[in-house]
Amino acid sequence: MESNIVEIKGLSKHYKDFSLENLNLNLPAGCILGLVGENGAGKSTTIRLIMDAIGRDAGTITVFGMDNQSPDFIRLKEDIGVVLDETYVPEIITAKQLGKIMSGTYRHWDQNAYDGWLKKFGLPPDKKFKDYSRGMTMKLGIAAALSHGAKLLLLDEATSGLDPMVRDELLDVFADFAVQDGHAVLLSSHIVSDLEKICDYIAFLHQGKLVLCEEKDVLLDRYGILKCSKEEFGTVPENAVHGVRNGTYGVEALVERDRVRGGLLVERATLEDIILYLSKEDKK
Amino acid sequence: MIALIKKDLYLVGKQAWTLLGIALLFCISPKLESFGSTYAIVLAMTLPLTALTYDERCHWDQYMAMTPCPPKKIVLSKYLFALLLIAAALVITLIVPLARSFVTGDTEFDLAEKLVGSGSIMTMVLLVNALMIPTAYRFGVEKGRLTMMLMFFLAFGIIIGGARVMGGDKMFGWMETMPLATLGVCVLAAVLFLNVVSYFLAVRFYLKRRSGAYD
Repeated sequence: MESNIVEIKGLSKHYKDFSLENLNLNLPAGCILGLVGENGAGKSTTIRLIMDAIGRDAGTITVFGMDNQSPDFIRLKEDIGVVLDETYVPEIITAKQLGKIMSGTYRHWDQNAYDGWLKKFGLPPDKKFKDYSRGMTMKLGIAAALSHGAKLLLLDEATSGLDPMVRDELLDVFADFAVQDGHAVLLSSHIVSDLEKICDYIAFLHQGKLVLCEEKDVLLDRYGILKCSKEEFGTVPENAVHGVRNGTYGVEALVERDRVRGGLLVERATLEDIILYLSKEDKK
Repeated sequence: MIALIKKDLYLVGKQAWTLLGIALLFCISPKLESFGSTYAIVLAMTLPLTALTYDERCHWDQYMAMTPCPPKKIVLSKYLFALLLIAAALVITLIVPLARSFVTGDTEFDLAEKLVGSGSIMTMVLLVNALMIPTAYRFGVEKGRLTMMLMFFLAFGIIIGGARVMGGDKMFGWMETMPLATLGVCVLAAVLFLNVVSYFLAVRFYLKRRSGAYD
């Protein structure tokens, strides 16, 4: 049986202009959970809440079975590697210096592993952080997150703004990490294709609310794209439709495959199709 | 903790070595010693702010919130870093002239006088730190700097205003009867106590800032 490494129940956080409402989410061991949503949907807030960097207004969060507001949680952070949407490191620090700082911060810091990641990612150790490209800064953040024996990785837009080759390289790193015993990854991104490649579960956040949280394969099996005439579309049960685009010559809709009968052709939907249709439907 | 102080040293390294070098050079010459002392004070007063500015600019607090480093340690490291700089400034303004007097056989060198002079200045720097660190966490470094200056002027205004209203003798007369060493120890103890209060305030402000309460 899979145990959950992260469990979020009824989580809420209110700001003046944004609210995260009643979030329920589980991240099982050995899995990669993709947290998808538009900018400002609440992905970064969720990660900061998991790390207890900001206080919650309601709900509970447990990580490795421990409430994240318990006094011992700070020690548990040894086991959590986090990559934020920016690497918040002073611009004149070098990768080598960052390693020295982190070796005094994490008890299980592995300098050899860090040096190995720097080498693997092609990061010059003596170059100042300000002279790094976006891809290099993200790689540095990932190198640090992977060098202290973490069992859980929380990645906030870690692949955004990177070229496809670098993204692919990093996705492989995350996938390799997740298959190790007792490990898990939460990867937030608005690049749905990245999530489709490696995630086991997909959680879709929209305007601070969880629209869906499901196994990726189940989602891809359940939904399909129906392309038909307006007349044919009239025969489709209303509860099978989760989003419609009306064109001049016909209709394109996201439908639940099982509920569509009558020989209508339902194509396979990509994760991006599902997310886009569902977000539009939610707006209505 | 050491790692965090090390980080601050990386941040101000070049500036610190330049100021230290200049202060050291000036302190070697008896005629230019006062310039050296000024540089040493500048070093002790400005570099903690420089480190705080770097932290604020890159949102270092957000990064540290993801690590097992407790906020109390992060804030304490700032006070220790400031103390380290004060110690460096003291070494330059006190030890260098002392060593010079030994080497040159200068009989006019008065260690007690020097100790009072440097000690007073460094106590003043300690007082500035006690005001500066929490205000920087509360208002941000730039606004914190202005707030700190306002508080400083306000405090001096109250002291000077009080002396005018009550009369200088009434207000400060007791100091003249007190032995200098006792007065020095009392002032230092008061400033250290203020630093302790300042630390607890700074931790509170740091946590609130990190949670976005001041955004």
